[in-house]
Amino acid sequence: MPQTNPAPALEIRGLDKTYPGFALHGVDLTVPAGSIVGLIGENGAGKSTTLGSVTGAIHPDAGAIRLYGRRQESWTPEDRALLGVVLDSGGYPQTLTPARLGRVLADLYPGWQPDRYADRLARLGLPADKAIKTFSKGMQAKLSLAAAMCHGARLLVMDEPTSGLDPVVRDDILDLLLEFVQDERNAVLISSHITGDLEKVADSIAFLHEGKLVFQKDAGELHDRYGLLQCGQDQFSALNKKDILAWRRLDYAWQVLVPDREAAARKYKNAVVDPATLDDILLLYVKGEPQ
Amino acid sequence: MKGLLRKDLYLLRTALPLALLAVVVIGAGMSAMVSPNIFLIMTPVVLGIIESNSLNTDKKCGWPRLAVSLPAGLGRVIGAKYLLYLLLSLAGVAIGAVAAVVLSALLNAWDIETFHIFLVIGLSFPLVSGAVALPATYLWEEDKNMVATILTYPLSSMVFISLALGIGQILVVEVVFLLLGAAAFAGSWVWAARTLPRRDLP
Repeated sequence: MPQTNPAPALEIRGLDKTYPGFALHGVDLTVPAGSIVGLIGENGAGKSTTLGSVTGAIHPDAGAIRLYGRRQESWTPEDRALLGVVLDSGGYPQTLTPARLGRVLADLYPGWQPDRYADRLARLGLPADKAIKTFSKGMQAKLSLAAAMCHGARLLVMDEPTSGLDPVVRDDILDLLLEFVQDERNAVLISSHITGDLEKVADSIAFLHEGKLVFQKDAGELHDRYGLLQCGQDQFSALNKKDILAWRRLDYAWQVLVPDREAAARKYKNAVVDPATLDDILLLYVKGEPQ
Repeated sequence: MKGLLRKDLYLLRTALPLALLAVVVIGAGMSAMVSPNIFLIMTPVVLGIIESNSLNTDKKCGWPRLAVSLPAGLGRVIGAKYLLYLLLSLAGVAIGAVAAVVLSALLNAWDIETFHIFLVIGLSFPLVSGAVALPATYLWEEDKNMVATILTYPLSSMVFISLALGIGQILVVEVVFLLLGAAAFAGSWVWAARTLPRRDLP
């Protein structure tokens, strides 16, 4: 158990994994302790492969994965107990009840916290003695998170945990994540297509596209500086290529992703420059032409 | 390991009553046509299939993708399946033996020689089947692994008959068949616990 450990919660370096028709190549990712890192990318970009490599579901062809400074090859049971995995499918047998699940997890995790688990179930409104199969999708998602947070995990690895959930449940889950990282030893790596959720909670965003990491940047920088410039053909031709991260042509206009929207607004006075959302950034890189 | 066994035992609580009812109903009918000793084969086979099929249930809910990160490690997760399969098969033989003895007494059909042939088959078939079915269920999709599981029983019968035709002495055949079954199961267990964790989850 790391105490005053300056090591990041998770470090991935040079991750490679090749499948027929797809390759994850040279992925470098860092999840600092006390932070939430959002992992975005189109379907098939390699998000689940990356997360699976961390949890052990997938064995990379190359690369190094470190959890609080310890290489994956040398993880002990105590190290693995630091990982809390939350899947979009839940992952727990449907005929179990939360109470029975708690007894199972108490046997599996030496650091299991039964009182905390019972408290979480009560706070989240989850009945302890009803089968998981009777739960709604939102309730199952909350149960998965509660179970992951009550066995002494320090790093939550979450693969599309809010997929298919309504805004109220998603908000509850995001609140739990923010509460989790109040302890600065904890961290979260979460992949999601619901970029609005990540914009609310993530400290940094890692963007995967076609098996490569396009960037990992501070969420504040993306929110405060990135911009979407819209212009006509003549203006587009006049743009300095160094000011363009990616662009695409729509029916009547060009959309250009710029790294500094204030500077772009000053420089290109006739163009409309708006803040870029994560969806805008993702769309321009995926459907546009990166510079 | 304890938590893994506990999980599967909780799951068995829902599947077991129906399975045992099926064994009783079908076994009772077959007792009259074949022999009361049929329980010695049916009960361990049914209980073993329930446990090996629990892997399909696990895969449907996504449990392997969680289990891979457990402190115990995937090798022990797989080992727990083998252990519970073995314990259930042995329990099935014990239950089947009691049922066979009781029914044989009631039907005045007790025959020690038939009893120990059925006993050995009841011990061996699940071992041979489990040696194939457990890794097949882990590696393959449900439709393929169910076929593999079902096919192990006629294949086991072929092995037994071949031994009987080749060796002749039934006691020797029984011992050889049982040893082959135990070796196959043990070999499969060791192989699966060492090899399967090194593969990507299917």
